[in-house]
Amino acid sequence: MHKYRSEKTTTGTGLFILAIMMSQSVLAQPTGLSDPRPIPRLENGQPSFTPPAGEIGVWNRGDYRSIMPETPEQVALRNRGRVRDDPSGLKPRFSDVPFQPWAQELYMWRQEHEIEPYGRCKPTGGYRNMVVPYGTDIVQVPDEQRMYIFQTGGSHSFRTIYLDGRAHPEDLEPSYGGHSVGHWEGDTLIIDTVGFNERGWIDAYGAPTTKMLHLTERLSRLDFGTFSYEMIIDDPGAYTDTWSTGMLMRWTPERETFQFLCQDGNLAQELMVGEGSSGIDRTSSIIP
Amino acid sequence: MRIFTLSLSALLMAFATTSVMAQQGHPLAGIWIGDWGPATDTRNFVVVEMNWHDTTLSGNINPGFPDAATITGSELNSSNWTVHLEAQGNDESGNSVSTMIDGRLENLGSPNRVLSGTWQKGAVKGDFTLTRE
Repeated sequence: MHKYRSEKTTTGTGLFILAIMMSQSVLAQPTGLSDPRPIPRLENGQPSFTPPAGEIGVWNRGDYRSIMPETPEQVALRNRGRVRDDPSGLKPRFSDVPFQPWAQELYMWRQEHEIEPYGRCKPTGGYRNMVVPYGTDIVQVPDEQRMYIFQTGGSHSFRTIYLDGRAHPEDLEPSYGGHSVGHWEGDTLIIDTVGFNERGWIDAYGAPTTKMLHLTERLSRLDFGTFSYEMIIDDPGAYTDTWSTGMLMRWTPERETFQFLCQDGNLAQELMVGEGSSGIDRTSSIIP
Repeated sequence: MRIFTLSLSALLMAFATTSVMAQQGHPLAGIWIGDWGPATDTRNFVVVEMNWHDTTLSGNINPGFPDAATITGSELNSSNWTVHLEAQGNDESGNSVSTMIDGRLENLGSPNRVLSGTWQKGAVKGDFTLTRE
């Protein structure tokens, strides 16, 4: 049993109840109009997620989590004691996630024992692709009817979103990021992704996936400085029903993506193998 | 002999491909390789292929071999990661025989996790260890 649970359970539970109450009271709060300019648009009228001409900037993640914990045990061991609310109001509570029994137990097991694949330089898709350090670069190329999502921190990987009306291939080779096609519904970009290889997690904290995973992401630019990122998880291999989560992404001007090589010169080597000082079992053989 | 060699080659090629594509997903899904037997000096090489679809586990023991068996029942108790499998197939002589497997998953976070426990094929009881490829 971890020290936190044996000595601080009462305090911890209280903090979590307070956090949940706070999260309920700030649902759908204003997004913060730090830049009063209107939503930038492409020549075809669609909202642009790319920096305006002559400017630089990246999108920065909101709250990491895809699931709001309700007990200290539902928080990854390395983060226990750090209690935050959910300013987006988009995340489900743990008890609202329709886990299959094995998936819930595996999620709980991972809180105690595992570091996520991303921390071991594995590529990511969907939600985890957005919640990377140092910002995310979204490049729209209307002439080619596609867009690219480049993550800075992590495995130096990117996703291609095809917007030309194509369907997913019939003989899809499973991959970390899957195969993504997109279309617009008004000002909301809908991204549909299948073909995941089961090696990834939904988020940083262990929500399992299977090869049946089908993601639907909804990107809605709310104002110049914010877009809402929502994701619908349909994975009948791990969950008994679909569920959704999300966060608010913030525009960070004067920043650019850079060549971050997780695999080379990794500054978090203690996360890769061996026993860490925090008591997390890092002996799992999921290593690069 | 030639058929056996060809079957073994095909099986090894399948394993090589699967190793490259080793996946996580459901804790039991994948190709498992190991042995079982009634004593340390009496062991039987065994391959177990398990697939997970929605809420159903299916699979085979030693697919493609004369003693192949189809998994007909399964139960995963995720509170302690114990596993019960039932299979129906043939023995080396072609006679119908049931297999009952009870084990426990270890090193759950690894793609190469281990399943070990007891294995009963017909009247023969023994132990087993399988490693996921």
